Amino acid sequence: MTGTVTLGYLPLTDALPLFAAQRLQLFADYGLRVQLKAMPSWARLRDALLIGEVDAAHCLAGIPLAAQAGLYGPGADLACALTLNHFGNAITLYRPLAERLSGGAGMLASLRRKALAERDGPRPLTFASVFPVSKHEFELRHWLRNLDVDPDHDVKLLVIPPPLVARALQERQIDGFCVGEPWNSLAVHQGIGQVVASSRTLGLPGTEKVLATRSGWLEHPDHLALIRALCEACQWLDQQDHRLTALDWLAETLDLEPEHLRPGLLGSPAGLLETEGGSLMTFSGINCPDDWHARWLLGQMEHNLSMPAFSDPEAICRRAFRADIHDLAMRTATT
Amino acid sequence: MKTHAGTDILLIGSDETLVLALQDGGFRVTWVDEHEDLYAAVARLQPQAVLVQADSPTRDTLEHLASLSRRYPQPTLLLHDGQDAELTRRALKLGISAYVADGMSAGAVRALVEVSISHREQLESLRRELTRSQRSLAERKLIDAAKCVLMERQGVCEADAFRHLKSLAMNARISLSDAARNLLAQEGT
Repeated sequence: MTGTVTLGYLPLTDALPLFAAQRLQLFADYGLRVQLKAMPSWARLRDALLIGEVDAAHCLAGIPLAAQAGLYGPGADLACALTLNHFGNAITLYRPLAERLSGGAGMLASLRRKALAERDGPRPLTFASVFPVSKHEFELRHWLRNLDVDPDHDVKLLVIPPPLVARALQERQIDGFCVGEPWNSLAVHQGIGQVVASSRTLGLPGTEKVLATRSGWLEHPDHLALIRALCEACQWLDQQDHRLTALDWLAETLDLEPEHLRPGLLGSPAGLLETEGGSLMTFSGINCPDDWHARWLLGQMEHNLSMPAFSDPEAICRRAFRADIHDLAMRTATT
Repeated sequence: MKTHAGTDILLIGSDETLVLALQDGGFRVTWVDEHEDLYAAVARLQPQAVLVQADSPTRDTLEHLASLSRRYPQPTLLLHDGQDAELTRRALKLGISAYVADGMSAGAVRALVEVSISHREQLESLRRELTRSQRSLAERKLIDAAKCVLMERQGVCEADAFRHLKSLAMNARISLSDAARNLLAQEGT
């Protein structure tokens, strides 16, 4: 095999398995030449997959599910056979707001009081996530419900692309957001954000990004080779000292300071370190698409995004999350 | 030209020449900056269509608006098939993405995408033309400089210097400007 493959990604910490596989020559080991292509938005990345501008992409797990549920029209046949990571998102509040609220558990109670007090005013409390079908949206809603705040009636929810969230926070268009790293740590570093929760502590299914592709390409030898190469990269990233090496690659690729990427990769987003041990995201041991997570995500879309009920959710999940292709890739000989 | 006088277009990002082209096409155009509150802008203007650079990160906000209500403009790539799909693909490749609300007629949608495409293509061809002119100007300067060197060094007239340069290029099977560049490089050392 000597395929040339184009992979799309969004410049985020959890795209690291793609960069690591490239640096470790794992793609080459599987006979692949890979070109990595940064994308500016999830909408653009989805379109690039649909029109064949990229062969596969680091993608929100909700996108192939939404495609199979028919949200993107009849021709949108996307699926995934590899989970790239579990967890990695966090919820950040505007720092002066977090500081005005009383500390600890009391802080969350006073946030609820504030939400209810301002609910019917000209500017209700406002939060942002990153895409209509992203897990970030559902994590944010879950966190709000835990505070006894109704996400549909007590607050306003927006979608703001991560590169613009810090500015939106500063200009008070929003009071907080749920995004992936490095954007939480960057807001903390800029002195405008305080991290108050992470996806690991919310207790929800972890599947975050997947390797999405068109269904017609699932069984292509290059796709099977990609899965194996990326699985190896994910395994390699399991060790702390390897992550330390990879930190520099990530910093170089995303053009950011390693210190701003370190919390998301090696610890927890700055500010959460006191309350939470272990690292924020998991790359290895989770790579086979998990049908239960697909069902949960699809259910969240149905309940939270005012959609008509899907007629056959099991079939949608089966078409979108292809554990069978994952197994096929792992069985395929390396040469 | 057919007018689409009742059709309000919201353009994200400042592209004055595109605004003019759309106005010429009969559309009513309002434009806002990428950093503005798009929720407020769409609620205020209730546009039938939104045009945005395909590479703008704000597209994810437009996707959210589209998911909130069918009243808001929907992404075109996902709506149309056949010939129109081909048109929106071409637009996307040229870096334009259109979101269109249910009420807009197919003819107006096509006109909108066509105006944007031809505007972008004109821009591309102008850019290519400019690059070409700049390159040929630079080459012209190189050749003139090389001729001066030859005239000075060999005490010949301009026509002879040019003939000499031409034979250098032909013998080496390189372009006239490359021959001039080589000659000037030698002169420099």
